Amino acid sequence: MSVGTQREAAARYDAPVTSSAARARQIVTIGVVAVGSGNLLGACASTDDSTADVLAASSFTDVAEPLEALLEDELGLDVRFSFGSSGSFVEQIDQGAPADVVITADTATMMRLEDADLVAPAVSLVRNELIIVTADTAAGRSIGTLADLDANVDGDGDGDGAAIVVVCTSSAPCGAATDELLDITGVVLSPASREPNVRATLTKVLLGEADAAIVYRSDAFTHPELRAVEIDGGNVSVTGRVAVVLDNDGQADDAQEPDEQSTGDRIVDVLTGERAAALLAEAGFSAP
Amino acid sequence: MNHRPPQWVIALAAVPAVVLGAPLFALLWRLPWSDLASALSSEAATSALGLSLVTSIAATALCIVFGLPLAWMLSTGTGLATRVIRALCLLPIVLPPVVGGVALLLAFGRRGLIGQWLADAGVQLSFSTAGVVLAQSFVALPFFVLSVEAALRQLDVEFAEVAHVHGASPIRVFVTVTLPSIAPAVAAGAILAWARALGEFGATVTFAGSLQGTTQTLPLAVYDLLERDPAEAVVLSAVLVVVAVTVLILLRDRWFGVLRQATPR
Repeated sequence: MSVGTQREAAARYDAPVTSSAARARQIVTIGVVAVGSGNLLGACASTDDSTADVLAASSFTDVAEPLEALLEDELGLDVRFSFGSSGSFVEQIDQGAPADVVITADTATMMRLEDADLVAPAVSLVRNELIIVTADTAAGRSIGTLADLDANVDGDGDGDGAAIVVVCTSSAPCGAATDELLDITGVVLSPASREPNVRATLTKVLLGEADAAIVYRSDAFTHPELRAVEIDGGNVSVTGRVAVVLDNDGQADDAQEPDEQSTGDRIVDVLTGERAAALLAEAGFSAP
Repeated sequence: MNHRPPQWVIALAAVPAVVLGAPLFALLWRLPWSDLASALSSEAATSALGLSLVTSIAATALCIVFGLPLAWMLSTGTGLATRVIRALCLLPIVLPPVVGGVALLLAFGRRGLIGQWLADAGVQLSFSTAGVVLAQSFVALPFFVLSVEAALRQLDVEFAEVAHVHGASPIRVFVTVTLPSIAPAVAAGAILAWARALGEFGATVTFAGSLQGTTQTLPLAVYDLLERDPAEAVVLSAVLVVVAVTVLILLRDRWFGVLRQATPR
């Protein structure tokens, strides 16, 4: 097993792990209080000025490393990215997941965060489109258009049925966009699985378990070993958005004064700057 | 034993009691009682519950059928092979389930070591209900095997030897003498294995994917719903808790009853 595969597998589910780690920290804190030793409490506090947390949609997994390096270079902070489906961010941030900045894959999930007053007004970061990626299998190679994924079409012409197709679950932005795409085009899919987020969907094709998947253009861009098939006749695009996470008083986490620029604000400034735009373009994202 | 623990020990013991109890209490507290019926009768809920019960029971059955011979073999051996196999048996307990799922893909996936032969024969385990059962069995088997093996090792071999001397075959001795005396351990192992299978998430979603009615078991449905309809996710979580607690209560008497009979010797 390649290290990459292992890392990806770990990265895909690390959002819930991160939040349970936060919960574990709370429990540790409670335990320490119960024993009555106040000294250790200071050591437990997780947020200090030198570290920052960015919660990002899983479609940003490949570009996170260069972005992290850029942020650390420009801000002198230790920046940590964690990933998950944008759909899970409302619950996670509401429950106090450590995050200074959140990046969602689409506008709809960011709006849920804005409506819940969990984030400051968001700005658009990137635009992404759906694309088909195929594995190097007989059924995968035979796919030339979106219509070839239709459940009623025998994918590889060998008479045993259509290609094995995986897509994202409806609650993830890539899944919502996929549903919209199928609506527009009238193509009927019977996916083998609806994966929790776009990375999990992509991985199933990378491992050769599925013949084809509907993912983002940026995913195909960073995995040239997969064949990408353009979607013809009305594609769906999503706009990735970024926002500063607010604490309970509607303030950015560490801003002491209302007009002081918080860590989150500084991160958003860098992410929407020219250097970040170049990195995002390199990773296959379009300008918003 | 009349030595009551001192106050501070009781205070320390209260901490885990609260930590274990609070999540359960919070789950029931947040339960949307008024929407309970509609949440429970939703298609996602009923199909996930049905699938979870079928697959976890199937996985437990597999654990018993293949775990008993394995435990018997492990309990008699002392050689290198025994030690290696026992280590393999422990692996799924220490392995993160997601890694277990990746390993299952590499072994039984369409391009896996064994999976490619299966694929040639027209059998595909990934994305299938059978794949869910395989993933659940993979993570649950150690609990059954270790429980039964420990009991076999502690067993008084005298009875078995007497039976053997009287001319009974090894299988006959195992079934008529050994098995009845380790019944509590078999039951306990089976329940642990079943509980582990019922709660399985990581290996299942990695190896078998998530599709309603085919591979989306209750834990997967909870995870999916948490992003779409948190209230229904809470209801399904509560169902999982109620099913687990009910089975534990139902089996408790039988389980501990046998245990009580078996203990004095």
